[in-house]
Amino acid sequence: MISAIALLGALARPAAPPPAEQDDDLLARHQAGEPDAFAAIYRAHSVAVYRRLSRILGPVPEREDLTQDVFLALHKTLPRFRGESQLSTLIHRIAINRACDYLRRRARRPVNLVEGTFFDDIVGPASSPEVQSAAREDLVRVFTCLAKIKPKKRIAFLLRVVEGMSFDEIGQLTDAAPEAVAKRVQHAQHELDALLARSAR
Amino acid sequence: MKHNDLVRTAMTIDDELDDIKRAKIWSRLEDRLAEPETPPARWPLMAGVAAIAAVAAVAALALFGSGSSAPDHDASARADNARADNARVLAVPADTTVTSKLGPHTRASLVGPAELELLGTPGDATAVRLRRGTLLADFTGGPDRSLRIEAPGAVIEIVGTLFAVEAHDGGSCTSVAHGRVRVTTSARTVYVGAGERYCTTGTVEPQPIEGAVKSALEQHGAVITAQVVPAPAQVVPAPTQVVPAQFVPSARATTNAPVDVARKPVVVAPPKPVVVAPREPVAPRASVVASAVAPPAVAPPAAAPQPTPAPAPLPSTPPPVPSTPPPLPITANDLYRAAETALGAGDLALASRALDRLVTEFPSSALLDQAHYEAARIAYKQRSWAVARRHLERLATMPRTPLAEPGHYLSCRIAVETRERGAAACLVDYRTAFPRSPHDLDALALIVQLGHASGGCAGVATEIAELARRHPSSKHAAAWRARCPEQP
Repeated sequence: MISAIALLGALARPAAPPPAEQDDDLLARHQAGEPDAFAAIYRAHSVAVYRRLSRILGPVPEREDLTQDVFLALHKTLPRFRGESQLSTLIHRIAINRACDYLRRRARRPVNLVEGTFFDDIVGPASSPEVQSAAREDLVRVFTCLAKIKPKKRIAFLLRVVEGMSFDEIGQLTDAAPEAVAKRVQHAQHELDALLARSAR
Repeated sequence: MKHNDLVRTAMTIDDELDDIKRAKIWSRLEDRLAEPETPPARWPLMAGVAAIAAVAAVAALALFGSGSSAPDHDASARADNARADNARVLAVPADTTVTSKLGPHTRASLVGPAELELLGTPGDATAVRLRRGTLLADFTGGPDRSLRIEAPGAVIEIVGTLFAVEAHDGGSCTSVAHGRVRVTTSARTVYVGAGERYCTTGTVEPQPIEGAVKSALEQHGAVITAQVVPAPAQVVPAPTQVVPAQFVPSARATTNAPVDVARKPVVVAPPKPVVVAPREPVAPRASVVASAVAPPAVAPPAAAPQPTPAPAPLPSTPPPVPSTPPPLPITANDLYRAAETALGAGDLALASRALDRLVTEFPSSALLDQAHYEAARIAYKQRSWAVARRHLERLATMPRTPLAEPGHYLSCRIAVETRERGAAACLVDYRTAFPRSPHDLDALALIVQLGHASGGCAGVATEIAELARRHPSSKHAAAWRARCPEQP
């Protein structure tokens, strides 16, 4: 039987992304000055923004602050937004820019990548101590090596590998040509493989 | 390439935003959205003014406290420091309550025996240290305002609320009448909401507020209301008169001419109600909208201290009644914000009431679908199945809502919880309607579980195979593969 906690956790999982028509409607309402509309935009997109930040940055505690920053920036941007792209595209571009800034800032100072308890949650209590230890080490190595890859390459790589996005889609979000995205992904993959191989020795 | 599965697992295992986090983010975001923007062109001017103020403050300290800065006058310096310390410490003897002002936005009562130390210069950001005793305070929040209280074992940060802090040996307790405060100990950060009390030496989670403290807070709130907003008050004869003391020492008082606040006859009164007045008579909307989550405290600005206004005794007769502005209309956003805040504080009943009111009074609001969904989730947590179903049925009739998917899933969850026959069919329908949903793993795992309960491993072989194929790295897939090994 699934435990109550797991149940509630599952229920808190994100909604599907809102359809573009609904975004247009919310955007029009917000730009017309309806006070509830921005809250509705937040509700519709906050889960996806948080997820995107998580999948680029990993389980860092700053994700909540960054999500807040994304919507603050969106609020400042919307009065000038004339529908050049979909609202969701605009939001995710802001999110990716914030993530990139964060990674650049973080590269300049040493940080604890992830808390140890996080790995325990992933590995699971049912495994043997040896398996747990090995899996924990693997995850630490992955995060450590990812942290050494330049932000733009890292973001393109993770959007491709984790989110399964096409080079075109990644290019739209990162303001880069698909060819440039493909190169970034390729370089990041080579760097990651090399770093992981080196760290395994 | 071989590591990409590991990368995928690592980056997706903790990527969900739960309701508590979402409510916290929105609370903070809403506060920041409400802040007026500072024109960037003014920054150099403001920086210049701040620099001049800082230089003036340093010059004033040097002028008034010249003895303390000379290295060959240690004894004199220690004496000056002691006098300065006395001026910044409010000591209240036993059986005495001091009603005082802490900075420009806080009215406080200190219940003796107690000692309160003022840290830095009181201003928009005020910091105090409660050494012992009980502090009851009402802080009026606003942009860039903060009140920080250092108590034994904890730091309490407040944005706008009515609360009490009690300092004991080695620990402290924080009780909140309304609003919300953040208590940071060496081990963790705890948010204490309305009606809650948290002790650093007690239980891990906040507990319901104690009757005596609640009563004291109500009395304090009534006194403060009477002082801040003269209202048609019911005056209760009291044995002694409470005189509000101004605890805002000037630069001179803190350096060269200390004033022993403790020895001044500011208050001698038992902690009895003196004036009983209705709380918050000005803005009824404020009672609906709960306080926002406290942001980090800001350092006190290096500004010149404010002059000490003369203490004003309470009028012996009721003051004239001011004209009360008309109440602000409550919006759907207000109600939703109240529900979000209540949800963040764990007050499901309050959140549910706010959402019910939203769906009743604002049927055309853009937040209607969210309100129905949240109300259904709350009812689900409370196991009020009928209420949850009612909200979900309304949600299901709304076209183009992005909450159709989680709403459908929640309906199926209720069917599973209530052991309905159609639970598995509901989940199958759900997966058909939303094949790439974020709940797919859980839905499929539930289908396997329900099928296994009725038909064993043989009955769910197809579903387990699909589970292993679509979610190969999940715990569910591993667990079911172990339980029902693939047949050759």
